[in-house]
Amino acid sequence: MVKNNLATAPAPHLHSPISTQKIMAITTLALLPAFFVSVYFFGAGVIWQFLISSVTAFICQLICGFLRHRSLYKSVGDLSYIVTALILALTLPPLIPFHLTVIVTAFAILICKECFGGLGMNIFNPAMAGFVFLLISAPGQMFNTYIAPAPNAYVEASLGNTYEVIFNNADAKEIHDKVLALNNDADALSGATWLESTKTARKSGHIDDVQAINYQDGKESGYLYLALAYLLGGLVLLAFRIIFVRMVVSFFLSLVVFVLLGKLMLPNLVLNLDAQLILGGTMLGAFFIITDPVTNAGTAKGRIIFAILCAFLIVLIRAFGSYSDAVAFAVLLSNASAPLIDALTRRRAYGIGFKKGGL
Amino acid sequence: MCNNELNTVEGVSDKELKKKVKADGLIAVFLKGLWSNNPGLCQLLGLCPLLAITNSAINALGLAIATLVVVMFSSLVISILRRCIFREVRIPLYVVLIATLVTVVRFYVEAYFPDLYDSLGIYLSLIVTNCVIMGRAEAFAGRNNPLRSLADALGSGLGFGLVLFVLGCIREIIGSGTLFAGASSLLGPIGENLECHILTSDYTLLIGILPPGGFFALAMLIALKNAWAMHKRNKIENSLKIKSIRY
Repeated sequence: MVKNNLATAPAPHLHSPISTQKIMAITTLALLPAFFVSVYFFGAGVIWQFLISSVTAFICQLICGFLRHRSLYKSVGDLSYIVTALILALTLPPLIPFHLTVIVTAFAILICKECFGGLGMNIFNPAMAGFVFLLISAPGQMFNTYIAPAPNAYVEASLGNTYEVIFNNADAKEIHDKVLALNNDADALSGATWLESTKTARKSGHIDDVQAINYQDGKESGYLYLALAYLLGGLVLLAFRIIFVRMVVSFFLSLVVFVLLGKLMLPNLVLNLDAQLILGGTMLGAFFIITDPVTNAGTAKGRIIFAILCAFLIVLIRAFGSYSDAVAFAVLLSNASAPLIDALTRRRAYGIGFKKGGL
Repeated sequence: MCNNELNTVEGVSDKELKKKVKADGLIAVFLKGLWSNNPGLCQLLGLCPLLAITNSAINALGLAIATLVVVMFSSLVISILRRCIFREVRIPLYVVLIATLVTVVRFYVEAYFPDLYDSLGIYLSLIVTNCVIMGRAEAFAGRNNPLRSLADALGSGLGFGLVLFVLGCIREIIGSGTLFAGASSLLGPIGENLECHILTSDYTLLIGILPPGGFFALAMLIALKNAWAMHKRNKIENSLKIKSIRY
């Protein structure tokens, strides 16, 4: 009775010794460098967020296993909820109050994944859907609880300090200011994140007024190291052949092409190439989100089209959208079109559907 | 011969079928519309106003009352006139009848509840195209006597209004943290005491009053109703499962 959302390619089908559990464990390990970089630059709040969301996700999986009369051990055995929780911890603001993290994780696991039939059946990436859910539900709190990155941020935003903010509703502004003071340069960014601060310039059509990012020193270096950590994790995944090289390559190539084209056509709206590649969720998206084996397209050609569509939407939404980043929206829209891409790129089985007058 | 007795495909004779239809009493017809064949939760009719207007409990209540009035009068009039209406032109005639009633209701609301009129906007006029009313007229009022049609319209209208109201309450509490905000526009001075704040702005989720929240909340209500209605069957099914091969 279960409708299969994934396209199954015609034979031959090869068996791979790798299991879901192993894939998820390796993905979790590949995300660890980014996790540590996040703790270093954004403070220990990230650790709390990961704890909250993984515990919530675990409980949600148990509830689902119970309601579906499945064995509880198997319903938490696939570890996919840990990956969801880790990506949520990395994307949510580090100081967001715990009840929002719980709600977002429960939404991601219960509604985005289990309501569609559990792992392997979900249409939308749970972590990104949860992130978008929070982004449009509580934009004010999302904006107030970000920390602008600074080296050694975990000294000021220690476990104890962030605990007070996350669980006891203390003022997030204090930690934010202390972390900001850690930077050597005293330039004042108006927004919480760099992309957020460019939004006003973009809306008024003067993107050139935004000063170039200095990756060598100060808080912007955090973004660079985070991107490098994601790259490292992505290379690990590529080495274990968990994600497809063609998806990553076509994503980056098409992103570069679309940004250069956009720069030519809409010079006042499109950000520079380095900002597009390093800031926001581009790196996370390229290696960990669009390559999600469940929610991307199911055919070889389809995956390339999926990656290109995603890159196109990222550039487009970053130019015209009213939110600061575009990766989550672009991924959700591409997820929604994945079944269509599957249907359009289905591979012809050998000997079936050949053309008249020739093989 | 067997064929002479069985007129229908299902093997139920015409006599039996007629008896079955007549067995539905007034209360059964009413309850069917209210619960087991609820327009909002089972037939999924009238989703446009259901999702668009339920961002606050009072708006939902206003639209629910308006819809109830229109569906009752339209069902009554159509069932009285059902012998004079030609089958070929019944839909245009229904639309004209319903549009007349909606216009009356709309002017009444505009005159006596101007605040509610402003917040309901176009959805008050759009009751004309509400599938619940058309569906009741087409499926029931056009082929039943006035009393039964009235019972059916009352059940369906109340059922639809109840879904609207519950959905409005849930979405208002989640989305803006209040309940019955602006109740004075509908209920007058009594309504002012009804307004209450449940959640502070730190705990509200804006998505509740946005369109996706409407879909989520409605889906949850439908799931709850199905779980309730099929509880017994599911219990038996689950008890028949073989425990050692569950996955």
